[in-house]
Amino acid sequence: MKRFLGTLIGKMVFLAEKIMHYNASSFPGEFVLKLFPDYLRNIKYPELVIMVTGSCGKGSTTRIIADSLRENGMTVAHNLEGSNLLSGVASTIIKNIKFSGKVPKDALVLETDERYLKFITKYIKPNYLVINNITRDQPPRQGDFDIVFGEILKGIPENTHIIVNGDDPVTKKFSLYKNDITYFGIDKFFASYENDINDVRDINYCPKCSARLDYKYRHYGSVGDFRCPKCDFARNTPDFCITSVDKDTNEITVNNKSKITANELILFNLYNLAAAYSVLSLVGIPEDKISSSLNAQHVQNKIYKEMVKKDRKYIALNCKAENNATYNLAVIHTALDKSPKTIVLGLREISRRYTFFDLSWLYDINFELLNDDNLKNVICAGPYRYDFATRIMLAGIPKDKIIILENLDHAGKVFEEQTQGTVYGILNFDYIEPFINSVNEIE
Amino acid sequence: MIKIANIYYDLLNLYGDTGNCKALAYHLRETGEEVSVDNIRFGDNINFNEYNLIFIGSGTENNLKLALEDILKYKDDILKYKSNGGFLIATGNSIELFGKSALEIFDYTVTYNDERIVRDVCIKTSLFDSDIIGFENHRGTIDREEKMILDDNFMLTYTIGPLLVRNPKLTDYIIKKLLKDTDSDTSKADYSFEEKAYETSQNTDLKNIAAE
Repeated sequence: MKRFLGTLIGKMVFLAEKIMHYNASSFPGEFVLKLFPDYLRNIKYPELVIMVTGSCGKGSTTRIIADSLRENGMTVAHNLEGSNLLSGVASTIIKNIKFSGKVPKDALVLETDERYLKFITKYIKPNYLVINNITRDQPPRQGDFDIVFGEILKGIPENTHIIVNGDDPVTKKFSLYKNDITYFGIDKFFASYENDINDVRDINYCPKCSARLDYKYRHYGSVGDFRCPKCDFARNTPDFCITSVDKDTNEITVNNKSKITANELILFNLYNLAAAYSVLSLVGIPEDKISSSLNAQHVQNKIYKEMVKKDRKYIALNCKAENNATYNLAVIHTALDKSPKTIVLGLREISRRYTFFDLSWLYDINFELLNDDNLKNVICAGPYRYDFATRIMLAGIPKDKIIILENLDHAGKVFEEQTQGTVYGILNFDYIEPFINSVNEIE
Repeated sequence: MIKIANIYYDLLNLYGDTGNCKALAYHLRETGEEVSVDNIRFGDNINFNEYNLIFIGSGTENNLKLALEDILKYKDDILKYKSNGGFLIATGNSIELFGKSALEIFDYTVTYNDERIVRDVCIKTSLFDSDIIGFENHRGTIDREEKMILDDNFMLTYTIGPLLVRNPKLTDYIIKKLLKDTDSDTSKADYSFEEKAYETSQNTDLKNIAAE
């Protein structure tokens, strides 16, 4: 009865939202859970339930998996990006459920917040759980990555098959527990490096025996081909591995045979594809079908946008404040370009969730990599422009290359007249739009 | 020549703590002084009497335990370094290494809470008039009133991350003390970016924008 009432009320809230043109995707679920906290208990969920969690890319990976399943003829319910707490999941269920208490789809695919996974899996047991990565992310909220690891661990049901990044010692630590486990990974490719650059890493020591991990190569930070010199903790060959990446054609190869054309060869994009490939294969979709559904034309890209104005290239790289990994990948990508360039840095809000003044994560970003003669100018914009300028100065980049702007509104003229080379906007997501608008103003 | 060591640098670096040595080295060099920064890994030998300034940052609780096991053997070296006027700056939870049940260089006791303490802080000290600003994100607490322990040339605080970047006055204070018997011209250190960033953090309008 409670389930029926909850469903009825939830669907009515959805309808009311629609009539009032009000769009808050979590609200119907939140409302129903207030009335019936155990609403999600006795529901007949689809046979196949896939969840995705981690610090970066869980929304994109969820969407890729859901779209690929649909393309392969399955009916799928999945939550909208960011609606990844218990209330967002409840909204997804309410939207799709029948009054009989059944969610009549072939599959349920859910993006789940790292810290809410345990509350969600209390009610819904996934067959497969993808853990993309665990990085430094929103420290005021998350504390640190060890804490996040512990929170995710608490949320993994006994019979769930987990799929993790096998190149990352942090996620590889899940192998020290009992669940069935599948690894995805990427072999050495053009952006990998062998030299021991002085960057900040989340893990340097073996979680089993505390010996210092050795690396054949790294993709970024602690992620790469690692091996403990004293015990058996090591990368090993991933079950689903991107074995080659073609810089010119954007073609990637999985396990030396399946070809996929990727949109952009930013590392997190590749990992998202590898993670999705793994799940789709475990679910039983044939390789050729997986490849065609993962091809670039189907997979939207939020990380990267390229524009050309007056023979100059402008590239927007979408990063997340309070998350150095997204910035470090943008920096590594930018540093690969050895031609003259300008970088644009800035953000409007450190966080949408709280008002703390904590920019300590700027010092976990390896801006030192960009300090060479090819770097012509650095624009530091927005309310925190002097914090960025200080960081850039301390990276050893000469002060006379730094241009301070109050914000990025109508900055096109500044790009045109005061900077040189390809312009890379290494920006928090809330500064992408003003950057693109400014570029579009260049006539 | 000023020699700086960032100890346990690959273990205790959780919240941008590496920024402190960057700021010190940068501004020391501006004065014309030669500077070296040794990033000392966990397990490598630390020769305390070789350095003018030792920095230690914050870490996960697991990493802090590893550092604790290792640092205990240096207790006598650290006491000697302290009485010889050596500088030590500890940020974040590394303050816990120096109290009771650990190195016992100070007599504070650490207790662990269920809830983490996450907050912006302003610290008043005897060093200068204006506040030292920072951010805290930790689970342990110590039984001391003051938010920054100052003793000889040791400075320890739960404030995380780039403390010296955010507080140019503190950096300037340390640099002047480090260079007091040298010919280096401390007036050449230019903190204008840091000073403007400090002003930004005092700007209430910005807090209102973020709160909207």
